[in-house]
Amino acid sequence: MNALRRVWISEWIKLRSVRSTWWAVGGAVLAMVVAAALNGTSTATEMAAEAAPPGSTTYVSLAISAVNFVQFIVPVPAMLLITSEYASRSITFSLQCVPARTRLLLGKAGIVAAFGFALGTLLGVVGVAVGVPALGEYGHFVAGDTVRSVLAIGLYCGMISMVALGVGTFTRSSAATVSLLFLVLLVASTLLGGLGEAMGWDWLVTISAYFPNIAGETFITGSDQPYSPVIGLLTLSGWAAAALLAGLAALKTRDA
Amino acid sequence: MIKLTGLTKRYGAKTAVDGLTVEITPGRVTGFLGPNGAGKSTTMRLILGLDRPTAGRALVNGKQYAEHRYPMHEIGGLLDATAVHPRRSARNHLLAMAATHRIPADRVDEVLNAVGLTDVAGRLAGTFSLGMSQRLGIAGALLGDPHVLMLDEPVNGLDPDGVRWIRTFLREFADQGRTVFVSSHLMSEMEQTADRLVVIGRGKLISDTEMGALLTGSSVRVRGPELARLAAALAGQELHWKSETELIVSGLSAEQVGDIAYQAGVRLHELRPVETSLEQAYMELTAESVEYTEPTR
Repeated sequence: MNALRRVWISEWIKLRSVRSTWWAVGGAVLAMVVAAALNGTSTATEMAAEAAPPGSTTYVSLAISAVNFVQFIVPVPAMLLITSEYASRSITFSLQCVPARTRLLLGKAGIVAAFGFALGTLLGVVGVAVGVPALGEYGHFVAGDTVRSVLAIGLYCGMISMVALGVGTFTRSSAATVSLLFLVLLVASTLLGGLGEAMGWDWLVTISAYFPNIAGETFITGSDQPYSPVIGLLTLSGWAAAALLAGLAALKTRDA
Repeated sequence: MIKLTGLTKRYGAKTAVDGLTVEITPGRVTGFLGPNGAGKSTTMRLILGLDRPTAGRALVNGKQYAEHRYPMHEIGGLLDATAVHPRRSARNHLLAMAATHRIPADRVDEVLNAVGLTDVAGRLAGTFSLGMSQRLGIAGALLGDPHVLMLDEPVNGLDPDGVRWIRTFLREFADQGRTVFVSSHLMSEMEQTADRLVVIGRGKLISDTEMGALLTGSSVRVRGPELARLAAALAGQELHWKSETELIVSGLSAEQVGDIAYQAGVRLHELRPVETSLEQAYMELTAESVEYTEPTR
């Protein structure tokens, strides 16, 4: 445990000591502000036109819908924590310091999970803070729900950061990792779901519901569709575990 | 101490390291020579556990690299000094390495000072010249105050100042009773730095000798006024006349030639073994194992 803690410290130094990490944080916050503000003002305008009663929606819903955008920025530092090491060949230094490869990956995974969670939670708070002035009287707080949703966004961001780390360790390439993440986090569920519906293949529609973005949505929104938030969280954990295991297998069997 | 036993590494059909058995002992500088593609870097990667050997073992102080709890205290290895994240400062690069062994930040500053990088410690590693990168790499290798230092081509791309710095540095390190294993393709550099030479070609051990033994060829230079009589006494040996008063005798030691001259009653003005340059000895040793040959026109 002590040995693992030392790797966490080392990886945290690596993560915080490159500017790209802080560009990603800034970019994600900016994306959240813009998305929540635009969505909030347009929702408020619509509601005014419909003469909707005050408090028709929640402030946190703006943060939730912006996750679709920020989810492509949040996992970038996690990915770079490994792919930049292959690109610069500094992986040789990492393995000299920590020759136990499982420990090295667990060290990285712990840090990117914590970092993703912290960043996601921050983004949730930012989204709510922007939502209050943007939605005005049409928004409302449900105290427990707001906190729960914000933490769920953090959890989701931590999970997809681990997915990015695993995929990055497996592919060793930023370009390949970004492409795969885009595919898995956005394209696959929509594409397969659409195809399944068009062809009347229910099984494909079912499969399409188990991609990380859909699974994340269930436990961030607390919805029961298409399955319970607990199943959503388990599904997402499965994705993170699978990606990390694939990365670990590559790290252990292939020459560095 | 580094001990290689039947170390073998194959990449597909190509054998990079082929049954290498050699011991690198403390207290001196062991040079590791071979033509390009001979398997020097691969051997060092195997020693550090970066690549998995196909067969055989590489032990550092009695254990495989990955079996050591704190490997950086055992061996400081530097394979590629430029393999550093270009956007991270030199000091942060070392701090991240040090954290894995709970080495304090003071030690980081100490090694930065030892290699003369204190003033540029906050600069991004990507802005470093090759010489500065080499120094940073050596600083990293020294972090754990190891007993073994292993450097791959450390003088590559260095200016004369840097070359002299590394040479002095390695000498002092070995004189403290520690092990130094250093590869180079610069024969002249090895001639001045190493006490012992391990030469490989096509992954196989070609020679493992003391520097002195390698440089002393088996020919003797003789000068004197009566060499014709000596030549008669040496009948059957390979002789090479330089002039009427200078003769090169091959296949005999200086002692043997001296004894023969004494028995024949021949006056000599000079008798000494001919030292081949390391470059020459190396070319002879590796002539059959160069990976790439000059294109024929």
